[in-house]
Amino acid sequence: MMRLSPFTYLAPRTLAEAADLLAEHGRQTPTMVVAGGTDLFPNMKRRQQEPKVVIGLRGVPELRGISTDRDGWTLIGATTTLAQAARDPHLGQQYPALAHAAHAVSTPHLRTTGTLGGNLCLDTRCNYYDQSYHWRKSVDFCMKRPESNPAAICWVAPGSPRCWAVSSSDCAPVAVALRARFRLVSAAGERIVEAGDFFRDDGIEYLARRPDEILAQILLPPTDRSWRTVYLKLRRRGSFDFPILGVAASVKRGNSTVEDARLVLGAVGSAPVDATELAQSLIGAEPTTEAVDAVAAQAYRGARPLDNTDLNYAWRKKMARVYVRRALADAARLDLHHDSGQVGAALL
Amino acid sequence: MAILTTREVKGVGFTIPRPDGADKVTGHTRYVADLNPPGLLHAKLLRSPHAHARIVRIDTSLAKALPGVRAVLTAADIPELHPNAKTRAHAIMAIDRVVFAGQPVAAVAADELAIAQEALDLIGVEYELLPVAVDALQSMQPGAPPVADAGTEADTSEALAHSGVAATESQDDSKAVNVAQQTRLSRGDVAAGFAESDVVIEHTYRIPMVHQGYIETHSVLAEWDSAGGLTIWTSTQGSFNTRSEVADVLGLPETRIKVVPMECGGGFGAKIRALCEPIAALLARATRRPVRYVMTRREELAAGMPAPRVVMRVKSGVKRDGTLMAIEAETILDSGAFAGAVLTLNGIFLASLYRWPSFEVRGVEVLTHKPSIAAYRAPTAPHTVFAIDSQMDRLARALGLDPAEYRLRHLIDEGDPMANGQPWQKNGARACLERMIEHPLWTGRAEWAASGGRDGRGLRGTGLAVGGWIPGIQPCSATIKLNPDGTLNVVTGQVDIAGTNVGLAQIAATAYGVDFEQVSIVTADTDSAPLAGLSAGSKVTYTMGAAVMAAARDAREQTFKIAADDLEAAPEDLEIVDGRVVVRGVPERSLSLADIGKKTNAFMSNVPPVLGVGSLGFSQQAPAFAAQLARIEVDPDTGLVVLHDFVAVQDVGKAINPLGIEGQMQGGAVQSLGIALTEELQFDDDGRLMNPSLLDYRKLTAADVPDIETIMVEVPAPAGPFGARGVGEPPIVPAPAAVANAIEDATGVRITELPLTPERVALALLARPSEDGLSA
Ligand SMILES: Cc1cc2nc3c(=O)[nH]c(=O)nc-3n(C[C@H](O)[C@H](O)[C@H](O)COP(=O)(O)OP(=O)(O)OC[C@H]3O[C@@H](n4cnc5c(N)ncnc54)[C@H](O)[C@@H]3O)c2cc1C
Repeated sequence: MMRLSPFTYLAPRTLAEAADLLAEHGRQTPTMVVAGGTDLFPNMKRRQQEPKVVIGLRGVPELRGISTDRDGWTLIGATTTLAQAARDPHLGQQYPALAHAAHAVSTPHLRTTGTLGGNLCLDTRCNYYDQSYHWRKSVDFCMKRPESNPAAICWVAPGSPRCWAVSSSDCAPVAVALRARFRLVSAAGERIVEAGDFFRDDGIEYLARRPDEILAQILLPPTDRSWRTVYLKLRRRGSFDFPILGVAASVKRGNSTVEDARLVLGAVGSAPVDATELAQSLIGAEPTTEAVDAVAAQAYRGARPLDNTDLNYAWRKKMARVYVRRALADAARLDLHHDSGQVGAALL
Repeated sequence: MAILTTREVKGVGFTIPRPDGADKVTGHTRYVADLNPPGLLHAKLLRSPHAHARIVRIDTSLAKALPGVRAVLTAADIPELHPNAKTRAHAIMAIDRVVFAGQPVAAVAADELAIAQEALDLIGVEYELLPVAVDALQSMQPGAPPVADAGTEADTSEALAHSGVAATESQDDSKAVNVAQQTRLSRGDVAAGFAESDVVIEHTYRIPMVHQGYIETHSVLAEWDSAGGLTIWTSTQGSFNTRSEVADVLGLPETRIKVVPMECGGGFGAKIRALCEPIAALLARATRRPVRYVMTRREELAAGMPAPRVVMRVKSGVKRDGTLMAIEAETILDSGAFAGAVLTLNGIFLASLYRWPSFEVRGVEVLTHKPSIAAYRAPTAPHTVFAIDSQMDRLARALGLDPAEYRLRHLIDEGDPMANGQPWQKNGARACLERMIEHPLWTGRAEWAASGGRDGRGLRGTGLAVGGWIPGIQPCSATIKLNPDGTLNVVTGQVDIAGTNVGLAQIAATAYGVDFEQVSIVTADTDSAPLAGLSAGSKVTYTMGAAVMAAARDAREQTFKIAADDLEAAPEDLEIVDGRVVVRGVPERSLSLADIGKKTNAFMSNVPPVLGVGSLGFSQQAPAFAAQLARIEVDPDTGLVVLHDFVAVQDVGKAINPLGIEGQMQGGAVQSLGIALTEELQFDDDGRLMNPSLLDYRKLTAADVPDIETIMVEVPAPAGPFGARGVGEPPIVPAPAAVANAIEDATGVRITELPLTPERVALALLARPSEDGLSA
C-alpha cells in the first residue's frame, strides 16, 4: 500500500461553511475538496495531486439527495453516491442513461463511496500521469505534473504544447447529452453553467470550475417520453475498468420523424466531445440505418484517441464509429439486428 | 492395498469443505502481515526506477538521520553479497549495476511504515543510464547490453525441482550474450518428414509475461535470538527449501535457521524460491529487532517473479489423411534478469504430446532487463499447449477432419516415448478428451454456431483443448500419533497452499480406520517437522499423501499390537469399528482407541505410545491431464469475446476430496482464462512496467467468468495414494488454446498472440478474406 502524505482535513457541516473554508485556505495553500475520495486519495498517494488542506463534503446534508422542483427540473446533490444514483427510481425512469452510466462506473465498492459530483470533476487520466511518483520521476515527469522539471513534456505527443490526458468520466458525456446544468457555489456567490461549458479540452485545465468553487448540484431539464437517451460504454472487463470509449446519444422522436438529436463521445479527448451538430442531420426524417451510419462515419473522425489509455488507439477510433452507430440507432429505436454479424459491417 | 474395516469410514472420497475457509473469508486467519511482536520494525526497499543503470553514488545520510529510522542498508553494508548472483535471492541488492526496474538498491527499517516510506525519499541515488535490452530477440544478438555479470552460471535448479524431467541434450556451444541455457530434442529425419508431408502449417505464438496474482503479497518477518539463531516467519511454498536458500545466501549453517511457514495466501509457484527473506534477516541483524517486510501490490507486479514471456515458432507437417510426419519448433523464453526457467518440458509437450515420428525442437532461455521469472502453475505449459493445440486444431481444419477425433487419433498413450526418450507413464489424457467429446456442448456445437450471426447475436463458436503437466516428486516424511482421547495427530512440514491438509486427514482416516474428524493435521516449523518437500509441482497429495498413508498404516499396526495383547487375539483378527478395536466377528471383545491412547500415556504404564512414521522416496511421476471447452460469442464489430459456458474435465486419478479438486479446477480455469483474454505485464521500451496496478493489470472479475462445469475422470496413478494424482496444475493449461480454437470456430480467424484482445480479434476479422461479398 502506498501512503498518503500528511495533510489537514476539514469537515464543514454546511455548504456556506465549506465554501468559506475553501476560499480562506485556498488563498494560502493548495486546498481541494473531496467527496468520495476514490479519485483524489489514490492520486494523492501517487503524488499526482498534493493538497495540504482537504475539505470533506460528505458531512454537508444539503449536498446530498435527489429532488424535483416546481418547473419539473431534477436536482441531484453533488455528493449523491453513484450507487444511489444508479438505483434511484426517479432517475431510472426519467434519465435511465444517467443511472446506467453511474452503474457502469468501476466496481460495486467504489460506487458506494464515489459520488456523482466527484465523477463529473474526475481528474483526467493518462498512462504516463497515472503512475507513482518514482515512476514519473524516472521519466523526468510530464507537463501535467511537472514537479521540479519546468521543461517537462507530454509523453504521449512529445512535440505537443498541450496535455492530452483523457476525460474518463462515465457520467460526463451523459450530462452533456442531457443538457444538464451545474450549480457552482463559492464564498463570493454562485452561478449556473451548462454541462457543455463546464468541461474544457485541456488535460491540465480540464474544468471551467474556479478553484474556489464547489459543484453543489446537477440540474436536469424536464424530459418526456419522446426523448430516449442511451449510454454505451466500451471496456474490457464487466467491472472495474474505466471507459476506453463512452457514447451518449439522445434522440427525440415525433410520430415517425426525428425531432431532435444529440451525440456526445467520452474518453476520446480531454473533454467530452459534443458531436450533436452531426447527429442533427437526422432531424426531420424517419431514422434509417443509412442515416445513422452516415452520422457514425462523420462522428468518429472527431474522436482523437491517443496512445495513452488501454488498447490500441487506431482500434479505439474505429470503435467510436461502431458505438456511435449502435447508440444512435438504439436512441432512435431503430433495429440494427438484421445486419449484425456481417463482419465489420459498421466499419465498411 | 486392502484396508480391513466393516464400515466405510468417512475418509477418502468424501466431499469435505475446508475447515479454514470460514476464518479466511471473515478475516480471522493470521498471516505474516498480522504478526506484531514487541519491538517490531517495518522495512521498505528503495527500488531502481531504471531497468539498466550503473549506480554512481548512494547517499543515505539524510535517511539515517530521520527520527525513527533504525537502519539503512545498501550493498556496501552487506558482506554476504557477491557479484555473479546465481538467483534473485542471492542478489539481495544491486551492487553497482541495476538490471531491472524494481531491483532493490537500499533497504530501510523504521519504527513505523510511514517513517520507512519517508526515509526512502531521503535516499539520494545517482544513476548512469545504460542501454536496455527489453526484447528477448534483441537481447540474444551479439553486442546486446549484458544482463548478468560476466561469468554467471545459469541456475537450473528450479527446473529440476519442479518437474524432475531430464533433458536428453543440453547445448553449450556458441552461447550468445544473454543466453542462459539452450536445449535441443530431436528424433528421426525431420527434413524427410516435411518433404513427404502434404500439408505444412507454420505459426509463431507469442505469450507475454503474466503475474501469478496471489492475494497475499510476499511477506516475511525475521528475528535473531541472542545465541545467533535466526527465525523467519514467512509466506512460502516450502519451508525447508526457504531454510536452505537463506542459509546459502547468508552463509549460515542451515540448522541455525528456523523457518515458520505461515498461512500462505496463494503462491502458484512464485513463493517456491526465497525472495525477501534475506533482506529482512539482514535488517533484523543490523537493528537487533524483529523486522517485517510486506511487499505492496505495485512492487509485486513490477518486481515480483512473474511467468516468462514465450515466443514459439512451430512448423508441423502431415499427410493428407492426417498422418503426423514432422514437427520443428524454436522456443525463446524470456526470463527477465535472472535465469531459472523450465525449458525442457516445453520441448517435451511440443514434440511428444502427439505421436510425431520425427521432430526437432530447440529452446533458448534469454535474459532481459525485466523482473526475473519464477514458476507459475505448470510453468510454461499453458504457453506450450496454446501452440501445439492450436497447431493440431488448424491441421484438423485444413484437412477437413473433426478436431477432437483428430487429436484422439494422435494423442500419446502409456508407453509411447517422450521426446527425451523416457516412456509416458499411465495417464488420462485420452480419457479426458473422450469424456469431453460426449458433452452436449461439444456435440451441440453446430447448433451453437448456427445460432450466431443473426438477431443481434455475435458470431458463435466452440473450442476445446487438451493439455497437462508432469507433476514433480520429492522425498518426504510424516508422523502420526494416537492421543489419549483416541484422536490422531499428523505432523508434517508440508505447507498447505491448496486445502491439501483436508486430503491428508482423509487419507490418514481411511488408512488408519477412523472418520476424518478424528484426525488433525499440524504443519510444523523446520525445527519440529520431519523433512518435507515443496508444495509445488502438483505433488503434495501424491507424495505427502503416500507418506501420511504409510504413517497411518504403521500406527494402525502398532495399535493392533497393543490391543492384541489386551484382547488376547491375533493382530490379523482385529479391525477398527466406530473408534474401537474389535475382534472380528466377536463384537463384545473390544477396546476403544481412547483406552489404548491412555494406556500409552499412563504413569507407570509399560505400553509404548503409538507413533506411526511414513518416510518415503519416489521414482515414478504420474502425468496429469485436463481437457477444457469454451463456448463463446464474438462481437464482429468490436472483437470482444464473451464466454458463455466453460467445461473442465480432468483426470484426478482418485478424487480424495472432490470439493477440493473442484476448487482447483475452477481456480485454475479462471487463471487460464485470464492468460487467454486479458493479462499482460506491459513494459515500455525502457523496461518500465506500464501497468503496475490491478486496475491496469487485468485479472478477470466475477463478471467475466461463466459457471465452470467440472467433470472428474479417474485413471488411477499406480504409485499414488489410493490412485490419486496431482490436480493443481493441469487446470491452468488448456484454456488459451480452447478459447483461440473457439474464436476460429466462430469467425474463421486464428489469433496466435495472447492475450486475445478485442483489437487483435477485430483487426484479424478486418483482414480476413471476404466470403460474403464484403471486403475490408
Ligand atoms: C479502480 C478504479 C476504477 C474506476 N473506474 C471508473 C470508471 O469506470 N468510470 C469512472 O467514471 N470513474 C472511475 N473511477 C474514478 C472514480 O472512482 C469515480 O469517478 C468517482 O465517481 C469519483 O467520485 P468521488 O466522489 O470518489 O471523487 P473524489 O475523489 O472525492 O473527487 C474527485 C475530484 O473531484 C473533485 N470534487 C469532488 N467533489 C466535488 C465537488 N462537489 N465540487 C468540486 N469538486 C469536487 C475533487 O477535488 C477531486 O479533484 C475509478 C476509480 C478507481 C480507483
